Amino acid sequence: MSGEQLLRLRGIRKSFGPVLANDSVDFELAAGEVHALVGENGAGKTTLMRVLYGLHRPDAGDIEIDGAPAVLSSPARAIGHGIGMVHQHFMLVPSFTVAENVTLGNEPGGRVLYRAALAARRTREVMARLELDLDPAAVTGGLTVATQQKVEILKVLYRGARILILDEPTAVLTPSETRELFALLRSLAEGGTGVVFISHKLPEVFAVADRVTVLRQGRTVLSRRTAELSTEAVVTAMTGRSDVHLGRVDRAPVADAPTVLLVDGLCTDPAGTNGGTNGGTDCGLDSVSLRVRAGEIVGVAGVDGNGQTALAESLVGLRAARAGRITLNGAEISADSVRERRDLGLGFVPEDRHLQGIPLHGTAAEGLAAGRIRRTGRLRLLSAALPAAVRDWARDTVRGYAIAVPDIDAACRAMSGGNQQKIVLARELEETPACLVLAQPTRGVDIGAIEYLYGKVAQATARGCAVLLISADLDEIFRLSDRVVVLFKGRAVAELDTRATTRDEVGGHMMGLAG
Amino acid sequence: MTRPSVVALVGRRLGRSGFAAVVAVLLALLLIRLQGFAPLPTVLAGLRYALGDPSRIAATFAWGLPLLVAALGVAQGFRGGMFNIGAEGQVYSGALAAAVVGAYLGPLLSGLHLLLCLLAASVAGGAIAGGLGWLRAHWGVDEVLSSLLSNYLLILLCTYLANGPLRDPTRQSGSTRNVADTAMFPVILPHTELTAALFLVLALAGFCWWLAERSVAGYRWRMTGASPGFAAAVGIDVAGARISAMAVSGALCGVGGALLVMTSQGRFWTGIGTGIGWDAVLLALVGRARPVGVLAWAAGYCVLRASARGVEQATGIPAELSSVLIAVIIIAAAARNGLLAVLADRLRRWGGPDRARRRSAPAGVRR
Repeated sequence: MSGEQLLRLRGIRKSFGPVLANDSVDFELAAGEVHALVGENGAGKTTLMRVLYGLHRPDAGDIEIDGAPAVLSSPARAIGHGIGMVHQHFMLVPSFTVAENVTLGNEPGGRVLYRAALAARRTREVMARLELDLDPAAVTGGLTVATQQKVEILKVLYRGARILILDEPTAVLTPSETRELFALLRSLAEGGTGVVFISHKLPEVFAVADRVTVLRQGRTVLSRRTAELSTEAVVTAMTGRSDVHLGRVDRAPVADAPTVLLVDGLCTDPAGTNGGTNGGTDCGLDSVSLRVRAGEIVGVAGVDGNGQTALAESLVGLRAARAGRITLNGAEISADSVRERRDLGLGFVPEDRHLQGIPLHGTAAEGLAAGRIRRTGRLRLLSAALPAAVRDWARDTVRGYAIAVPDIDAACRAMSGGNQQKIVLARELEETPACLVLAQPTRGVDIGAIEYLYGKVAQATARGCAVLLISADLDEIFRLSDRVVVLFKGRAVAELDTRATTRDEVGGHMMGLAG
Repeated sequence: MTRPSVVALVGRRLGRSGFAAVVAVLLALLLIRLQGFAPLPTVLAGLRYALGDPSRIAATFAWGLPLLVAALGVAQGFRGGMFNIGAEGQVYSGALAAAVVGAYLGPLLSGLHLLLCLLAASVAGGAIAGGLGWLRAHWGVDEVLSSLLSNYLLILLCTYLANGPLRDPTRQSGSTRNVADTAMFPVILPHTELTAALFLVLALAGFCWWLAERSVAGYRWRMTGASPGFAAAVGIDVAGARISAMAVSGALCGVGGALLVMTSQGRFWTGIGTGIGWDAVLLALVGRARPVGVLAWAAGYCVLRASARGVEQATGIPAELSSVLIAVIIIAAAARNGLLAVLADRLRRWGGPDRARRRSAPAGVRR
């Protein structure tokens, strides 16, 4: 398994102004291994990978490839050294065919004419190495997310990558697609490729990786063979704490509490793409009914694209319902605007953080204060949006939610995903909502931050907040929710008590199998 | 826990803008040289013409007051994500509205008359742009296209009105009646065209800054403009923000047009706009839609234009030189982020590893 050394990074250091993203990072990759790189958000994983892909130049440290020192000053150089990267957000042209995407920028044949047949043949050659069978002439945008990811991998291999970096590749996949991806990675490794697998999900790390390297606060704190490690040891290394547990979140059980959110026969059109997170489309809702009581967490499970986006958006008022009623604390809100629903106590954590959760081009304060500004009266349009009192409140909130930003005027786009999500959740919880709709609340957020967010949600339920947790992550649903509703093709096909059911039962309903 | 210092912010802005200005100055020197004149003395003669004595300075900046107001208006629209390139049409409409109120109503108490004229102009411009914003918000009509086309409609409509129903019969065609004296801003510096409108414009500039950068309304516009998905999800009325951003944008363009009438022309005529609406769009672009940037660029443009006049008088080089230069500035400002950044990067690499490290840090942060 452990072939000759492909890559060696020693003492990598990279700072952005006052922020030290990589302090002293060591990382090695051998041919034929899958090497997991884990760490909390802000630990320096992304910076390290960007250094490796030639997007950042390190302030100090050495990079060796095949035992020889290498300078990676641009992605082109990195590709020249055989480094390939599969980004979390795919870099594919949806209207192009598979072969066009795979060969894009490096088309076979002349510089002038695109030779489709040759491109298709070259694409097939790469596919043969992976024992994949895709149609090179298929239009990429019409493929499933998992298949698009394979096209990304093909693209990288087509350029001769021997070092393959995958950034959170399973975030968009179902459990069975994840298993398929892992088989693919294993077969690549057996062929001599070195794979760097960046993930937050430790079960996956243990399922696929030969070695694990843990970063914490810009330093390599652990690097060992997976077989010699336990989950607890990795979690401790990641967080620096030994009190993190991965079991069910402690919450007081709900007695016969009043119903807060009541959804009755909700139908929506199957409109549009689902927010652009994974390029797929989301089907509409077909007569969905559910209720959430005060202090209760109801999970909504389902494979992405089975109506989750439609459910979240129609509940909060971003998408019109075709039929059905939504009541909040007894008041019908089906015809209300987002603003009116929020004024009545509906909180919303959107699934797409960058598009809907935070003002990506704004500051932390602007992201936090949206609720307060919403409540500003009509006659005070010209008053300050962020007066001193609100700025003080924002500073307190940043401290109270342990959001790691230099100050409240820090740009949102410069923050880690976990910190961005803390801003979203802080904003919503600070409004003390009667009902909170969480859509994929921890997607792309790491363990430490997840624990923190779960704790905050549990606190909110303790004071009677009703929570609807829409998540594609079954772990999340089992750890948090009291009941689980399964969506399949826009219909609520099952409703189960989380403590009395099993993953396999829920998984079966997710695939539309009765039982 | 402090904001970046004002000096640092201003310095960074100047650094970015200064680059384009330096490119423009170098090109100006080159063009003058190519025409066979000594570059430096010629430019100095031009600057003397623009800024040589108080009355020259007054003339230089008095010309720019309507332009500045219109540019601030376009910038307000940009901040709300609305690309109002119908400024020229709104300037014409505002000018006509002010001229009509100024000529047919009154003479009145001067302050009141001024106010009514400005109000009429802002309502005219605001209603037009607000209407285009409504089309965008509710029917998805792209405001770039609709506002662009509205220019032709409105200018032709104003031309028709000035040649037809509103024509001053005592004059050649294409001109309305003179407004009452009470509808003209008083001159504050004798023998110049610098009027009390200066105070109004400075107040408006301050107001625009507060409105866009600090106020609740500005927050809604900026969020709608830069992050529409976020704005909708947190309950901002995105359609309303789009319409109101356009309406305010158009109202300011209308006031810009009114100032043309009320500070110098004294009436509406068919050639009154002379393209200040288009210049306003360009200034809003190079000023990155920030009120302070727009103000600085508008002042620079006034000097540039007046200097070109002076150069023309001294040497016969056509004053259109200023149009060439403003175009170069825009291209340079746009290229700063792309092509020239690559060149700067190359230079940095030649500078050796030590220097490269120190300099590459801020570039990385900006990414």
